Amino acid sequence: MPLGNELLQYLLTGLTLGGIYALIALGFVTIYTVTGHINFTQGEFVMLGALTSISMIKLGLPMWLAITVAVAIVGIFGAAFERVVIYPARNSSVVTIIIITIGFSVAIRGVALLLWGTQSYPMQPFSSGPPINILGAIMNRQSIWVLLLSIVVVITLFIFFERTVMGKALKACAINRLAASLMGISPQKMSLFCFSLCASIGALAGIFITPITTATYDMGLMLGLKGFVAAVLGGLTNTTGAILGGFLLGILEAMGAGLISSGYKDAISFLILLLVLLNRPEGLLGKPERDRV
Amino acid sequence: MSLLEIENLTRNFGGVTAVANMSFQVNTGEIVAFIGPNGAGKTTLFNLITGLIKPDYGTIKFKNIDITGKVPEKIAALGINRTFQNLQLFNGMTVVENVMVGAHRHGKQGLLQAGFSFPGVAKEERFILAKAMEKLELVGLTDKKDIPVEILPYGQQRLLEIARAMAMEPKMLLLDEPAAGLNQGETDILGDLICKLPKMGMTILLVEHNMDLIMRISHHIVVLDHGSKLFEGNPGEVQNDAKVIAAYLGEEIV
Amino acid sequence: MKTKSTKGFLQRNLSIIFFIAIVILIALLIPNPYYLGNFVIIGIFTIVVVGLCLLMGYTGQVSLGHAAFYGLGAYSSALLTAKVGFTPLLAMVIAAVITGIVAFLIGIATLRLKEHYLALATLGSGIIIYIFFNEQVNITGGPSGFSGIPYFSFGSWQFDTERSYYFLVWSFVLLAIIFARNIVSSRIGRALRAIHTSEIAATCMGIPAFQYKVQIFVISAIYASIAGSLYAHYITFMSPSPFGFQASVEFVLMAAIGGLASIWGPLFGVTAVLFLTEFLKTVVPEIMPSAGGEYEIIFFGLILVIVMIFMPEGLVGGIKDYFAKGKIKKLAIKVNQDLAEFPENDLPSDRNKGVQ
Repeated sequence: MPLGNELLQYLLTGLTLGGIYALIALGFVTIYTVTGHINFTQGEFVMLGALTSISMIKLGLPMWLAITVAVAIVGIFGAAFERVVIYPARNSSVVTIIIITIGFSVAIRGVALLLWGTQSYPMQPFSSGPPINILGAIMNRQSIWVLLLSIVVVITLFIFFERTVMGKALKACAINRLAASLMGISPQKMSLFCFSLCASIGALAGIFITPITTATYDMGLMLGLKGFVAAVLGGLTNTTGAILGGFLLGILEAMGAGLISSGYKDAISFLILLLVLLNRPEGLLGKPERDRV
Repeated sequence: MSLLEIENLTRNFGGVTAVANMSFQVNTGEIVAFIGPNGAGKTTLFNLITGLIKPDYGTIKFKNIDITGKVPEKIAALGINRTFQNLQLFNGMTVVENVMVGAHRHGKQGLLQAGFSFPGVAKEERFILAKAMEKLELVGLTDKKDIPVEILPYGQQRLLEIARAMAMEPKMLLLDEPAAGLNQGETDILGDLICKLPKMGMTILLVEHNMDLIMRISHHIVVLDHGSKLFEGNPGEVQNDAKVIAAYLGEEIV
Repeated sequence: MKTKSTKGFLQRNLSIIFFIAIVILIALLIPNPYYLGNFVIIGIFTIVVVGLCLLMGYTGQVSLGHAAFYGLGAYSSALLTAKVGFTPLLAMVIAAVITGIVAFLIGIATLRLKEHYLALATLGSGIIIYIFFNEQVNITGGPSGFSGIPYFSFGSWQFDTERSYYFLVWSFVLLAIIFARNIVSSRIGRALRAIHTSEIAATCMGIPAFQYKVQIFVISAIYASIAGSLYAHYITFMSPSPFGFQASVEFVLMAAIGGLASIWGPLFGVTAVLFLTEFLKTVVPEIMPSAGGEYEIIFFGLILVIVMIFMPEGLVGGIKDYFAKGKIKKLAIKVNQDLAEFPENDLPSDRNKGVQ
């Protein structure tokens, strides 16, 4: 294959990966801006979405219904997680919250292992048919679904934040929690809603990627970390940054895997992260934070 | 002799100019007060001198050494220490330990010497403790030495911050609103304490809103407004200057 | 305690003596080498976690990549003894130096970052190193690993039984704890705690915060490296799996459960976690016959979450707080009621001890 085609192929693969990373990164960024917490459980929402939908399909539900039910279940789960785990610890230090969310993700992974075992579960692509040939590079039909999903989610979120009362309330919380609560917006309710929303987005991401990668109980770990990397690349407080960070990470990773070594692809993405953090600790699109005295 | 020379110092935050083209000098052994309405740039000025933020323009010279843009620990090493408007005590540590942190620079023993418990370490520790106790005595907190700082009453926390800063034995001490939240009795004790400091070799820079205190203890007053120097002079001159009265003192004094 | 009074000095040595007595007692009471082997592992992990507590608990800097330093120590020792032919002791020292240099480079690059960013940067560094263990097949043997690592020896003294290794490891634990205690109770230790609470105020006191953070990061990496060396000569087989992200997380969890800001906490944290794991390994299959191994991590995670919510200062901190709370409250009331006449020698120093 000529180099041009090869690069195009990596680009397409990278876009698919990037779409997923962007969705997970959105979860990190939304929760961080609204509540100030980094939620290391985000990756497990992805896994739960994928495996729950597979179980629903096995129960005989049609695919669209199985997906809807799975997303709803994970959304409720996210809300419960906020109430039971995050809410009691909301005034703890950053380190404590990091440890708590990591600990809970360990527990969720354990439960998943118990429920689904170690095998990997395949899922039917959403639409059948041969892969699409774009200028000599091949793209799965499912990859197009993934890209569509990321576009739809981004647009929906945009409309939600800009056009609805709830979205504006969330945005107000993100800008200034204290001022928002003085305006009668309850930051606690917002936090609850926000966790539920981000869990649902994570679940969708997991479901859409499963036909490509299959689903296992431990898929959330790496996906979660990559989503976090993407979020930080983009600036952690910036929705646009998270989406760009996701696609950037996906493309660089695909290029690295193809051109350098697939074994080192994760090392490459973390190396890029380190380089960005060293030169721009506030991320590519973030604003520098200042210590106040 | 001037200890601190500030020339054309400027710092903007976004579009707001917090300190604008400010110049003044401070002589050794003086108590210099900075007054002005909120947002006049007093705390920003302190943050610039202690290196917590960098100026956009201008120079700061201390003992004739250019310290503009140096990191805080380097500036502290030259003999500048400060207190904070919003108390920055080390919670989780006792009163005396807080002051001992202030005396940090009196020690030389590093991490490895400490870990292997070299003979010098214990001796140095006793020396630092003695320094700390000396300062606690000056602010009258000797009997509170083993109390966790969090439970110390507010007024005493303010005094403790001063003791901590004094423990470094700096040449220049910056006090950012030391009397905020103190009652009249505590303020009087504070005033007496500050008056003693120049005799101990410290030059004092003071930001304060309590006019009675300032008029009582300061040798020199710099009036700031919107980041610029409006006026400077001794307390008598400041009280009689029309511009100052209009900008800040208002009816309170007249 | 900080005042180095005679009483404090005695107390200090008492806990060490007590510790030594328990170590010997365990060796005497447990004849079964398998169980003694568990204590070898507890000792090795304790060394890592004590180093981690210096960094996280006292200085307040997160590291989610410490397993990589543990691995660097283990691999360096293993390779230098098995493939180059160095003596284990020399290999351990060189391994510590190598790990120290790597930690120094990572430290100066990442320790200016704060909180989440630092967590992610250390996590990333750890994963990069872990990937090297896996991918440098020519050197490390890759995922399948290599064997032939000699037992630890000291001159002609071979540590090839569980019992001798037990004493070797716990001697290192003792040294690790004493070293950490000395640091924490020194001028540097106070500076580290000051950096934790208010880095701004600390630097204004003339404390070179960044330099100290790098130093303690290197020290804590060397702790992990020495533990890794001990692990390599104990297991005598090397593969990357114990040094991944999961292991880094487990070290942090052990540290958190024991109590981040305490020197004895790691001992409790590691012991509690490993015993619980062993216990669950035997109990879970009996309650849920369908379950194989590994399910204990559910409980592990849940217990951690509960501990962190209800005892954010860990087991040691939580128990101390329980006893100290009443005293502190009384003290606070007293201070406020009676500002002038405060009895000088009647002050509990529990809080003080908690953050030694």
